[in-house]
Amino acid sequence: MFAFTVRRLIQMVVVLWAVSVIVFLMMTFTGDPVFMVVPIDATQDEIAQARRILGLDRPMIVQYGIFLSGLLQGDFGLSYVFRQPAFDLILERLPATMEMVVVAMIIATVVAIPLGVYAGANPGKPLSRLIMSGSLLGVSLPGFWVGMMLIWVLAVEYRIFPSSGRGDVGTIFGMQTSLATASGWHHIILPAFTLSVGTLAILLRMTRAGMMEVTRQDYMKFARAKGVSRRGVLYGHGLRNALIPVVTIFGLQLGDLIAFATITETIFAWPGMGKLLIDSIYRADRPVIVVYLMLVALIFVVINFLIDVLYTFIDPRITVK
Amino acid sequence: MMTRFMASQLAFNWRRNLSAIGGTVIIALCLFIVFAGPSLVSQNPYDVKQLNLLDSYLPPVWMEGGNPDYLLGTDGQGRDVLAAVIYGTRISAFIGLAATLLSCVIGTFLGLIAGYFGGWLDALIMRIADIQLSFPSMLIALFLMSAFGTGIDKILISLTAVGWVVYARTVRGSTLGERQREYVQAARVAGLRDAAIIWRHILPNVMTPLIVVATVQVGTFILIEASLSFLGVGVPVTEPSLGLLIKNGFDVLFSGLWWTSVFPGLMIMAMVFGINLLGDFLRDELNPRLK
Amino acid sequence: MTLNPSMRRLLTTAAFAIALPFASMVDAKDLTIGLTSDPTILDPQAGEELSSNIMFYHIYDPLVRRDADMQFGPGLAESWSLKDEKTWVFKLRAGVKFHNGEALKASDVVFTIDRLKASVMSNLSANIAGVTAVDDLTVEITTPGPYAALPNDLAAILILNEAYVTSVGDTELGLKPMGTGPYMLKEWVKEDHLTLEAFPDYFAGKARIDTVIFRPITNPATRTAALLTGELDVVQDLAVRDVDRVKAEPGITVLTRPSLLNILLAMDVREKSPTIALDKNPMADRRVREAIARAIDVATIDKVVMNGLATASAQFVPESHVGYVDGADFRAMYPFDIARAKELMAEAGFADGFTMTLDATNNRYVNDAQIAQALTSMLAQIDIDLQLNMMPKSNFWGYIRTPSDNSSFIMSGWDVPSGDAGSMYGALYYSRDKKPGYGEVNRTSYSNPEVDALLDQADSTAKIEERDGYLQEATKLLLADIPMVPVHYEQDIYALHDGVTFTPRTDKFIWAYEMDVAE
Repeated sequence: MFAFTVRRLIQMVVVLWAVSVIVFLMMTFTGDPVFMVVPIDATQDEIAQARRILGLDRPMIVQYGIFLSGLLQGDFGLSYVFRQPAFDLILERLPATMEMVVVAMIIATVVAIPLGVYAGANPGKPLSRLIMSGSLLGVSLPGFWVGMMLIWVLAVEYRIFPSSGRGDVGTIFGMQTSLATASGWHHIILPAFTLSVGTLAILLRMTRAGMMEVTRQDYMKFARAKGVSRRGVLYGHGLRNALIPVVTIFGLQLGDLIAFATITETIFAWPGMGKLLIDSIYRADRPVIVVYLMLVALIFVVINFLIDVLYTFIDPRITVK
Repeated sequence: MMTRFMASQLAFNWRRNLSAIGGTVIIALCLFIVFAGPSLVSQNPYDVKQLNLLDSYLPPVWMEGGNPDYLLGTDGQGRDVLAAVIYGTRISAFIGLAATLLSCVIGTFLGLIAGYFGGWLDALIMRIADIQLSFPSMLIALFLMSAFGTGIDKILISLTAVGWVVYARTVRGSTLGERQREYVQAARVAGLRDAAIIWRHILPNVMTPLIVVATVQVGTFILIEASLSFLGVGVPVTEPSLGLLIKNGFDVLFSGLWWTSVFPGLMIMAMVFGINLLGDFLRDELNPRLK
Repeated sequence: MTLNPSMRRLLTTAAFAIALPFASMVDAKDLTIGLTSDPTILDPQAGEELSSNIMFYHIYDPLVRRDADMQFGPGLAESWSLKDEKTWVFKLRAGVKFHNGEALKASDVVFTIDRLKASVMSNLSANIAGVTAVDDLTVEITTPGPYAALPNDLAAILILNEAYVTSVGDTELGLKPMGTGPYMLKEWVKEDHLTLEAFPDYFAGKARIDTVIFRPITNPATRTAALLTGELDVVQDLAVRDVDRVKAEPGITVLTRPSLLNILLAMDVREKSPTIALDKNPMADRRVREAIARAIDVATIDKVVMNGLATASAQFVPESHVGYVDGADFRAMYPFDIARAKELMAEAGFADGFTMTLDATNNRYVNDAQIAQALTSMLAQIDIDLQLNMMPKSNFWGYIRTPSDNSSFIMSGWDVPSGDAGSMYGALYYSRDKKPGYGEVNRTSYSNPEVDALLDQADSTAKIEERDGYLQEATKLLLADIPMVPVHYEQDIYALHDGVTFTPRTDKFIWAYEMDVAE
């Protein structure tokens, strides 16, 4: 177990380093940020000065060196646009994104698992077919379009929900979050639901598939014969095993949620780091883009690691290699 | 021989499965639109000379102010929404299919050589695949496009860079299995070159699962391209795909001009839904574990 | 410090109980304004986008104040005079206080300008050679050459407090600004709201409105919705599409004002054009340029693309500016006339037309993408096949940077907040690489020695009437040569609830100090 952990940790570091190189290289292809900052009629001297201030005048390898050493100290440089530490800017907005992702995950799980269990255990029934068609539709919808339609119908036409923004922020357990206020929940429902649609559909399908496989197994029949209720069999015995594939993709889905949050935040003007990323891409604000990618890479790598560890506990058949 | 049996079994099951037939019908309709669509509408929405600015933002024909020349209304440039959806479908479908084909070819190739030759080549390719798999494809594509700029060729490159992995892994696994089989050993002993063995013997036997993957991937790529275009890092503005049409419609949606974003969205949904229906059916059929 | 809800409630009730008697005496007035975007930074020398600029003028003051109609008058400086051709003496007002109580001194002005020269906004001080503090309330500024428009330039330089800035540091200054202006920063929740509070000791008197809340709402339709529900009292940049709907609402007024932003089409006049596949660049021939000007139907663009909310440009700068020639109108000189345009093309030898590329932004100016597309269909009428190369503004400025091997026909905007055509002409029309600081943005590669001479003369007099004379002569030459086609001025569109007193400014900077709210 220890060797496994160490090896995975080394792997994580290597991956992160590779990402840093790729991210840095790619950044050199994006628009020249100098021209976003200086006024149009700036002279050559003024542009050169701006370059010096932004640190763009050094050779590439030196810039990477500075970049890497800064990375290791948690210093990602100042945003070209905001002139504030890029790291702080992203960190400020992390809670908002996490709120939306967590609520979306909850919605997806709470709705998908029971429906998936039902559909898997009763594959022939018309309700199951309906559920499956619905889930297929869910996977086929462009998420941003769903968000737009929801805003249009529920927020603009019928004024049930607010059309954009985050609600008031309160404190729970010392953390600042909009989930602590009623207005916060009012604002988060539409974006979180929009975000959850794809994941909901996938979780539903996986649960159903897992359920179907598991119900054919003998131990399920034996449990029934033993006298365990149908529900007990399903949820107690079947679900745990059916969940293995679900757990696998849970991590991937979390990653997908964070990725799609960029679009959802843009549509709902939700002040999270996804929206900041998109805005920064438009403005060629490299430091912020870099921080976002590195942070997100770190999150994914850690999630995958945790999932792998979790695996060994859920399924005793899987031994650590 | 195995494949032929499967084919007939497949066809038999297909005839009896409502959703499979439905999916195929939808796909057929989409292909019809792709090839015959332009001849159904009089306006080429990409040709600026044919646009009449004075006809912009007309509602669909059944609403007040509608014009029978523009069945589904017009957008801000005077583009006929029906024509724009047809032409946009062509672009979206082209990107989906082309990117899938490229991913399949490149991924399969890499998977074959990884599985067949093993060693450091295998380790390298699989390492890269693993690293890539830990990130959502959408994000990688977004990042690549933000660096490259807009353009259909760049979208194809980005999608391929993201899509090859699943083929490589699947094929590599199957190749590893096939490599041990007697007919491969026999071919080697007979002096057949590696390339010939791979191409003529191994490839046909590992292809079956790829069909499912490819089918579903077309739909996935269509959705990713739509998202990228919506964010402004996809297709260029002058030849909008369905995603870009929706983006243009977003700005005016809340002022009540709904037809510019609703119809392209419905089209994407229908297309991908049809693909997924068929893909689902194929997966159920070709998945050995459920037999 | 965050308080838990029950504690907060207790304190609020207590506060109410104490404040009630006072509250009944004076009703605090507040105003909520909707902006198109969040300010990026509150350090006036770190950037210049609109929302940040609006904040700057609330929190800081300049030496010279620019009013709503582009007239320049005393600001922190109560008077100024010329000591000699290149030296100006500014007398500061006495008794001006910064928000932290410190008095304004001449050394603060010197510090501000020195810091400005080393910042990314250094071009604002391009016409300032040196600055010295003669005594605590007198500043001497020298210019490199005689420059009549110095006061205009100073209206854009906001005065910082030396002690505060040096102690707080650059990064903190962007978040915690401190100036002499009529408002102080109370709270800034990024991308949600920014709250300003009136500064009681403001030198010109405390502001009428006690609290101003700015809310950034980027989506135009959402902004309109917030106005209609009453969440916003005033909205900036009301979407062109929503104007009719909002006008019809009782209790809301829509105000428009032609902005300073002039949309220009720059035509490359070099011998060979990078985007035209012919041996000779057609646009080098003046007749072709005139043909293009005559093929563009500005009235239709206004009606269809801009919903009637654009003002056709008569010249390169608006009427209020130094250098404007009364009575001259580009649209009268070259009216929309396809037949005549075709004749001109034929005379120049291009009866069959040619293909070229238009470089334009798709996210910077109002409906810029649609304008570009409209141009395509219009120029097609004279057989010019226009290929559109549209890109986001983050790529645009670098792409078209002169001298450019990529661009030959460029659509962009230009505004001149200093109220003086000279800076614009100097940047855009002066021959390139002839004099440092001139012709830096000469996208057309236009070079006319007569125009250069006139601009030189305008820049060597400290008398504004003489300067005006020279610049007017230059305008006449430019109107005749057509290096660029001025298309239209965007309209700044505002909407307000009844009870709000507001006059839109030409420079688009909303200033709460000159606004009022009914009780």
